[in-house]
Amino acid sequence: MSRRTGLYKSRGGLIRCEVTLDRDRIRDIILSGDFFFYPEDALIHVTDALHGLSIRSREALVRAIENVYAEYGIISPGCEPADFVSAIRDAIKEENEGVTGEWMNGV
Amino acid sequence: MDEWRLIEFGVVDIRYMMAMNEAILRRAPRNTLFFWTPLRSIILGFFQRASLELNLDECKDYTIVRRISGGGIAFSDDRGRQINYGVVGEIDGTRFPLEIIESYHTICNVLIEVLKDYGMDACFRPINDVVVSGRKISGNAQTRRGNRLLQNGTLLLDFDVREMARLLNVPSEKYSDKLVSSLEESLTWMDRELGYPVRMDDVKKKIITKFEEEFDARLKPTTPTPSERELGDKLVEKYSSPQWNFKWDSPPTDK
Repeated sequence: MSRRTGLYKSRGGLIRCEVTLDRDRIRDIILSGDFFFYPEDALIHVTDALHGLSIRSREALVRAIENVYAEYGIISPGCEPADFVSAIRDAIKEENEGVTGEWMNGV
Repeated sequence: MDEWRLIEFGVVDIRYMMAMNEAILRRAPRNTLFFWTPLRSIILGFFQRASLELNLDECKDYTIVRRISGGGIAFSDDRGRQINYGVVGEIDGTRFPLEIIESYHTICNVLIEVLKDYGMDACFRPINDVVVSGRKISGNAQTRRGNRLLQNGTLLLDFDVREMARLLNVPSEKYSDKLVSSLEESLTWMDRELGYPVRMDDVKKKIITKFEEEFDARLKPTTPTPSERELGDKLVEKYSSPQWNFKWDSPPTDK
């Protein structure tokens, strides 16, 4: 499975995403960029929460990140859970072109 | 009036300076303002991956480190024409606000007042920039540990845009010129705004004065404590290690 990269410019900074999918599910993901995120060592909990999730539902991905934010009291000025999901979606979008697989419906 | 510390590190190895940043954050006996002059260094933000941000082949004669605060790249060349500062403060809700962007603004206000003294149209651009006529002249990055903050920032006196563009990762050659003009458009520096080379010592003196006014504190010149030095010496290894500096470039483990 190939690694896909994407990015999204949030108000708080550029978010880069590198993701490997297993069919429609996130197998590996690295989030990086020049954003601010407090506490810094809680970003790993975001990527942990995203492992195994399907990229089919944007809402589910956003909710998963929001739950981590609530649990760890995360503050990321100018940068929201939805912005991280936008970076993920950017990573997979090029691969979407020309793909007709069933799991792409609703992405 | 409170007495806080002022430390001038001078020209330093950036790995040592990163170590001292962390040591001061963790062990400062009271609020501290400090300055240093790095040479030929690239400081990545905590969340940045060197291989994605930089053209590593072009960076071979630069020291690359990653700091403990987020934000973007702080690059300095051999000219030494930028002021690098650090502030360690207790988040007491008055001098140093609890709200993050507000605390950035409070500290950046010192630089803004200095630039206004020089006749520049300077203001704060959330989250962490000081801009002059819409162009960024100072970038800042803050981290917090418990009830303390550490904010680092640069104030550009002179800047080599082409050199920075050379070091950054661009998709292809044709983007390099675009990048240079984009950087020239979005950044500025004091010499460019004033039309003459400003004296760094004069700027620093103004920063110290404005800092004392902003925080109603007196800054006493001093050096790091033995405890800070001890921790700083230990931490140099961390900031010299690829495991730390290139952390996000490590291959992910299989889950």
